[in-house]
Formats: sequence, C-alpha cells, structure tokens
Amino acid sequence: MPEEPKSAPPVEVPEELAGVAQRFDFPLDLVRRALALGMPPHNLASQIMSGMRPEVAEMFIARQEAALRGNPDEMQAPPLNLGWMQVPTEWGVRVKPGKKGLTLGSLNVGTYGDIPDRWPHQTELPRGAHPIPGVPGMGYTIYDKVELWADNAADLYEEGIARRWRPATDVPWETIELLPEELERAMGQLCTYFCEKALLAGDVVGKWLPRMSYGYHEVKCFLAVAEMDVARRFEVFRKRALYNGGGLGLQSPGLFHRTILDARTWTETSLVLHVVSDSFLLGLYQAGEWFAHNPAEKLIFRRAAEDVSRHVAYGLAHLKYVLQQQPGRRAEVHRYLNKSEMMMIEEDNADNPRREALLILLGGGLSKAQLGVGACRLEGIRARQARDYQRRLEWAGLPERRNLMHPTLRRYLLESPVAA
Amino acid sequence: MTVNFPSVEWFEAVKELVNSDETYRRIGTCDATVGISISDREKYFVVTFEAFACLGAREVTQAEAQDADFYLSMPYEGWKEMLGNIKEHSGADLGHTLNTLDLNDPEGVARSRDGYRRDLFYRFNESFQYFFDASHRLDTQFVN
Repeated sequence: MPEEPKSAPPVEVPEELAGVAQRFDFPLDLVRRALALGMPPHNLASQIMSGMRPEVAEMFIARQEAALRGNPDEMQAPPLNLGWMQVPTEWGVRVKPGKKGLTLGSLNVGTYGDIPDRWPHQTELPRGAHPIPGVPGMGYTIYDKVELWADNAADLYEEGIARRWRPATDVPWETIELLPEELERAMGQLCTYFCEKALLAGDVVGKWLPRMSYGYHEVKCFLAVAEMDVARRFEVFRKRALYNGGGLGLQSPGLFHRTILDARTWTETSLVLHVVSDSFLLGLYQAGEWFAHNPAEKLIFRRAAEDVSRHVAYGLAHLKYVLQQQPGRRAEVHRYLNKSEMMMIEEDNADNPRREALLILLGGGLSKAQLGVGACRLEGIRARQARDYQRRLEWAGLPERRNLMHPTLRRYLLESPVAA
Repeated sequence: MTVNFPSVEWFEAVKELVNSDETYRRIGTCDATVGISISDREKYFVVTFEAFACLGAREVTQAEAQDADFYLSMPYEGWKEMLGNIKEHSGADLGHTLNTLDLNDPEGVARSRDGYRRDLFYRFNESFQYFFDASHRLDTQFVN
C-alpha cells in the first residue's frame, strides 16, 4: 500500500462511513484519501457497498493525487487492453481533397462506399465501423435505401455548406427605404407566409430525421443542412417583415400544411414537401426577386431561391430513384400528387390575403391599373410554376403527369406562354 | 481593357476577373455549364463553372449551346442593354438582373430541355449574377 501523501490534511471519517468500510473490509486510509480529494461520503459509501475493490480505488485515488501535485511522472496509467486496435474494418484508406476540398462523397471508397439496399443495424453505428453486441437500439424505422436515397444527396450537402449565407450581415439592410403603406403591408403578409412555410418544413424534416438509420448518412447530413436552410429562411423573412416600420400579417389557412404533416412515409413526405410545395415556393421566390424594391430584397429572394432549389433537387432525385427501383409504385405516386395538388390549389384559393398581397406587390400598388398589371403578372407566374413543375416531374420519370395534373395547373400547360 | 462582345475573349476576360475575386469564391461552389445564345447574330458560347472557379468559355454551335445545363437566350439588343446597365450601375440594377429578365420574357431567358438541369439557374443564381456584374470592370465594345 503506498504511503499517504505527506501534505494530506487530517480528514475525519463520518461514523456511518467508517462502519461501511469496516463491514466491507475497505482500508480506512483509502477512505480518508478519497474524502480528502472531495468525494462526498454518501457517494463513497455507495461505491464501497457496490463492491468497489480497494486496488481499483487506489489506482483512481493515486492518479488524482498525482494530478493535484502536477507531476506527470507520478501519473499511474490504467492497464490498457488495446484490443480495439484489431478491429476488422478496412484500414489504409487515404482519400484526397479535390477542387472543392475534401467532400463527403469523396469518402465513399472501398467498403466505406458500400451503400447497402437494407441497413441491418439499429444503432448509431457509422457505415464502415464494426458493431459490438448489446448496444441498445435507437428505434429507427427506415432501413431500406429506397425509402430515402437520392444520388445527389452528398453533393447537395456540400453545396448547402459551401453556399451558406448570413442574413444578419450579408444582406444590405440599409438599402431598404420606406415603402408606401400598401406595399409594406403586402410584403409583411407575404413574409408571414414564407415564415410559416419555413417553420413547417423544419418541423416535418425534424420529425423524420430521427427515424432514418445511419446507413444513409449522406441523406441525413443533407437534411440536417436543409434544416439550417429553413431556419435561415424563417429568420430572413421575419427580419424583412420587422425591418421597415411594418410587421407581420395574418397566418395562412394551413390546409396544405396538414397534407404535408399527414404523409405516412418519407417518400410521400418528400414528394409533397420538396417536389410539390417547394417547387411552387421556388416560383414565388423568383417572383419576389422580380418585384424586389431594393438590393436587399433582391439578395434575400435570390439566396432563398438557391436554398429551396436544392431541396427540390433532392426530392426529384429521390422520386427518380424510387421509380427506377420500384416501378410498381407509379400509381401510388400519382395518388400522392393528386391529393397534394388538390390541397395546394384549395389553399391558394382560400388564402385571400396572400393572393391580394401578391397582386399589390406584382402590380406596384392599389390603383385599378396597378392591380390589373399585378393580376396579369400573377397569371404569368402561375403559368411558369406549372410548366417548371411539369418539366421537373418529367425528368424524375413521370412524363404522363402532364395529362393527370390538377386541371387548374394543367390549363397552363395547354395555353401559350403568358408574359410574366 | 477593351473587349468585344460577343466573343470568347469577353467571357475569358470576365473569367479572369471572378477567378481572382475572393468575393466570388466566398459565394460558394458552382457547377454548371451555361449556354449563351445570341441567335439573331448566330453567336453561341458555352461557359463552364466548376467548384470555386469559372473554367472558361468556348464558341459553339446552337445545338451545343442548347445542350448545356441551361442556356441564356436573348437577342443581341437584350444582351447589350443588360451589359450596358451593368456598366452604368457597376452591377445590374433592379430591372436588369438575370432573374428579372427571365421573368420579363414569356418564354424565359434561362431555358433547357431538362427540367432538373434548368434549376441550376436557380441553385447558383448568385454566382451567375456576380459573374455578369463583374463585367462592369471591362470596357465592353459592342460589335454591331
């Protein structure tokens, strides 16, 4: 038994603790040294009664005493096992940075790039690592690649990181000047809608992320960045609404929100959120950049459009993957689109404040002539949204959607292009 | 420096400007091939963007320009107006950004046969805008 440190102050051992030490044949000098290091008596008693061996206690106590003295030569290293160094994972990997640096996708070499069709692990085991038995399951529910995969996920993750922007300092807020009241109110109303859409997207993705197993970290990483994107969109539109002497407006009827929230699989969710909702949202951001009154608004809408277009890209690529792997799900996909298009149109029809705000902003004011211009431009935007949506679905493998689209949207595909 | 528009030299000159501009790099990575179509002058180019740089431009056929990820199509006077506005204001004013010009045209200025690849116009719009805005540092001579 090592000698007690010369500088150890006398420590009184509570009677109850002394009794425990005696009962379990635990050396009293170790008790004193542990108390001197600040260990609460009841903790020490509990450790002794749990069967802590004196030699183990000696090791920990000596190490802490040496640390107090500050002399590394006195530190006693615990006995090492080092069996983990023989782990049977692929070794000798050396990935190299490219023009964009060292990207997530570039790590998919050898066995680390083996992306299975079904992930068999229920824990946070990173792909390529070696499992140990007995780790509790995390309750994931998505284990099949087809349920969430998109070939562009890793690239979109890196793109989202590289192209992140900072509304607090990147937006030239000082270029926003006072607007006529009707324009400021209309902008506040539109910003309210955009804030709602962002919060909803964040909630929806946040609900699904914990269900996705770690075999497909590319998708999880992309969706984590997507969460940051939507937080930024909420932030920037709230800031715009409250910057210029105006405020927020009425909340939307929320009919379409429920359609997104009620989706029962991630594929349905992504289809409704990314392919339908975000596709049309992108068109509104494009319109925003068009009627923007100052460089600040131009930048806000341009960067917001960049962010949401990445989400559209993921949704389209996931849809394409699903249809390639499970062509029998085509009819199912059309049913999801039927429902979501219908609810989106119903929401558009019910959301009078948003429509009127757009008319005012696109026309530039409240006069009859301006509202007429606004109405014409809004029709042009809607036509553009419908045509872009159809072309995206065609790329994803649904060219027949052209004939199955909701009539309100399909009419824009049949008519001549309208000047926006 | 005086450069004729439209020409490969013009696009290469803008390329040199943005590739040495830290602000362009900080916008982020951009991966796209962009066609340039000035059909009334039968002039077509492809400008390639990769990672943090513009790789360069080459003169191509109309079909090759239309095979890019997307192509920007305007008549010569439209290009002249946009670039003249950029020169005058050291960057496009509110009425002359790429997105605004795209919406002003019923057919759209940014076109593509591919609905996914056309979206690159949106995904990297800030980079493309910065590219054309950089041309205000050139003395552009419009070839009539």
